[in-house]
Amino acid sequence: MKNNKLNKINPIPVPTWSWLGVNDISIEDRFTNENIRKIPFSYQWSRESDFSGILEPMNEDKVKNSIFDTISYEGIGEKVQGDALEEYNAGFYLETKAGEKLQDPLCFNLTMTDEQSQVIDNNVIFAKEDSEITIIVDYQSKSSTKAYHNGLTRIYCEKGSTVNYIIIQNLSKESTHLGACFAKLEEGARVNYVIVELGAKESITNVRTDLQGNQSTANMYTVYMGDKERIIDMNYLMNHYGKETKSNMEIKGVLQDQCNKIFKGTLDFKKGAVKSTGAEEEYAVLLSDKVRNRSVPLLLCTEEDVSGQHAASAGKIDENHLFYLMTRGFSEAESKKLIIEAAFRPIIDRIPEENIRNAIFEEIRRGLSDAE
Amino acid sequence: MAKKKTIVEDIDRRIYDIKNEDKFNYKSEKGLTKEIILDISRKKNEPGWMTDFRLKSLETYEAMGLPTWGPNLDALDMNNIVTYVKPDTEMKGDWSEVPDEIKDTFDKLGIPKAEHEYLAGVGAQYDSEVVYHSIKEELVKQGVIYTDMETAVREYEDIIKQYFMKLVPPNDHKFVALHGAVWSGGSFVYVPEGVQVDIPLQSYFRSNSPGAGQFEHTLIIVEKGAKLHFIEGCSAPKYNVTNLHAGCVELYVKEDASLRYSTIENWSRNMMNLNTKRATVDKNGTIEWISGSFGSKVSMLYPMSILKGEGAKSEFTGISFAGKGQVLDTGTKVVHAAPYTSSTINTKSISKGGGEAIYRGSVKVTSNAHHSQSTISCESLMLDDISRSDTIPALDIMNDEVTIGHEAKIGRISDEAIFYLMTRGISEEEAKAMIVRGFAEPIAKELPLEYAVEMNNLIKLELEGSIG
Repeated sequence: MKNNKLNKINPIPVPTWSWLGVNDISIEDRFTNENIRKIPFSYQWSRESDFSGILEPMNEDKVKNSIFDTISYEGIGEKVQGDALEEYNAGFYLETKAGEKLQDPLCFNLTMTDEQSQVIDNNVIFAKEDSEITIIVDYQSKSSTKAYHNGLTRIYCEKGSTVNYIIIQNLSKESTHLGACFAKLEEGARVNYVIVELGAKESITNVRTDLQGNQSTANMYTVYMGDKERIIDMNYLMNHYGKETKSNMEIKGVLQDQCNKIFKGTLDFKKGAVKSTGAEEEYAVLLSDKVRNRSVPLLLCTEEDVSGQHAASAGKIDENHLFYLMTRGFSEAESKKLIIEAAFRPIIDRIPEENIRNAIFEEIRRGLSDAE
Repeated sequence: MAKKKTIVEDIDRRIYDIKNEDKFNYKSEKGLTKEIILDISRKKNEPGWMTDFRLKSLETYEAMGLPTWGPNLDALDMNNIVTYVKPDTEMKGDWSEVPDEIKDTFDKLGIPKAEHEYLAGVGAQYDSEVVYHSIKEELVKQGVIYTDMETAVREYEDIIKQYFMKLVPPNDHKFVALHGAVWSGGSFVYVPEGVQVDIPLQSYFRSNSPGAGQFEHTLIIVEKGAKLHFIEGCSAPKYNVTNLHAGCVELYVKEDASLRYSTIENWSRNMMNLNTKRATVDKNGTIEWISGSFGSKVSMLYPMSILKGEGAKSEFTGISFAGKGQVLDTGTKVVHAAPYTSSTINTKSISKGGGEAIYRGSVKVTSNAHHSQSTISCESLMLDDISRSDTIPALDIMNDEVTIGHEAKIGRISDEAIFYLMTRGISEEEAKAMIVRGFAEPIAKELPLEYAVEMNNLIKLELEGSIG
């Protein structure tokens, strides 16, 4: 059995003072199953009858010699990325049909159990020209399971295509979650991410989007809930290469107990990305005086004709709102829940499946009452 | 026809580039050895504890690595830096006694004139030593001390021993360790309890010798309820060898006291400016930093405010202008270490001609600092597409009873703004000039008048054709 550390993973694009502890992160490597490939893990997925593209379990032949060989994406770190590419025991390959726009989402559920507590999934989404698809991946585990999950998703969007990629992470509070996602966009393509982070003892995520084609667009909507002594490390990067590209990040979260959260969000305007715009907004609600809330919103620029902005704010729940609700007969705890729910709702409502939305709200309510 | 671009001129450096003959009374060998340090200490006739302090700092320096972040420092070769250059004069209290050539330089920089017109005291350092120091009689009567550091070490040894490099310890980073080993010159200011110094004091640091380092130490103590405005100016002529500036500023702002520290830094483009400034603020005290960075090849400068008393406040107002060949990595650090503390950060940067302007900052709120507030605003203006502008802020919050807001913007002069002004009858050229001046205005208005005029002169616009 191995007992290694994952050292200096999830590095920030431009380092700063090391005493801040935001340049990278080191955690215990809980991946112990060297024979993981021998125990393939199957996703449960709902296959839409009107989907006429390709959807298969991941296999190397599918991504060999394709566009994906040319992608250089380091992910969370060399070892983690190597495991995801070589040692995976789950994953899908999805290719849309050009011009086909699917209304209903494809839903994948991956529930980890004591029997299969270690999963590495390697997924590819290849959106052909002018197609549109929505994919929901729901990572769950039994509450008693100490799960280890390492996931890599690579998305390629051809001209004019749209991918809505929704990830829900609700592993047990003893689990490790390492989630990496990369998307490359051709002209006029669009990717919309919705990420919901609710669980895991350590949740380390990396999302990089290369807005390569002119007029490509990327939107990132994230909500997170952190409690206990959990660590949430988010590292999002928008690379603007093409002309008139647009990116937007909206990150909302609530922190309680001794939770330790680091958000690194980078807008990088490369030379030539003329008339591009990028915006980033982060808002953290703090519910305890023991939390640690770190934010590093980077703005990198080598092109004059762009406009970029970021804003970050953090603090307690607005006392006026709280007071108003309490005068209406709600308890303080109920009022807090209502206010947080209201703040998260615009993002969670982007998930087009009612039962998943309800489960998320339920989990958030439960998480907030745990803390009382 | 190709669209003409507005050219924003480089900073006019004529005055700063006056080179005097490299005359000196004593100059240390290049590089850094124990012998050189013992030599400096002997020449200064220092007490033993200071010699020991220098040697210990040298050990720290040797043990520490270069920073793992920030600009490339390859141009710096410590083996080629002369750490100590004693000018060919002793410190004077009358300009007429300062050697003509040195006096001429300060005359051209406008220091004696400023002293006459609007300062309560002046210190002037030339290379490694202070050549002139004066303070108005009425301040002396009130117990205000303003002198060079060497004199302070001898005459106010107890105070210096208590405060010297306690706020910025030599193990803070490699260049502070270097400073601890070879520091020379600088000013010491002590404002006793309740004394309000209404007219500013100013120290001016001039580096003349090629390939030399300047390591002045500024130590200011503002006692309970006292008030001070201190101005620091720096410049050097350009040589083809790399010069190094690794000064250190330590500011102690006591209960209910307030200190405004203004700097206009205009080092030449061969200067590596690796400077460290820090203030600690007690209960209800205030520190205000006004910081203009225009010169140097590489700057790494992040004045830090430690708000350790309840209700302590800090304000940082900064502007930087990075032109061709310059990397200005500047910003500020704030630590909220007590309840009800507040900080405001307001920075502007302009980059052009391939220059790199980087804002780097951090705001930390410790777990006991409830009801703290911080407002941060950073704006960057890119004047062409060969330059670079990065914003690297970090927030580290460990208390829930806080209000923290951060905003940053990057962009160029907007066509709409120019168009709007033109519809109001303003010429295109004037509209652009107004916009750039307006961008710098919130900072310029915080500067002492003479400096504001100087800054406007520095950012000269040569307007031709259109921007964009």
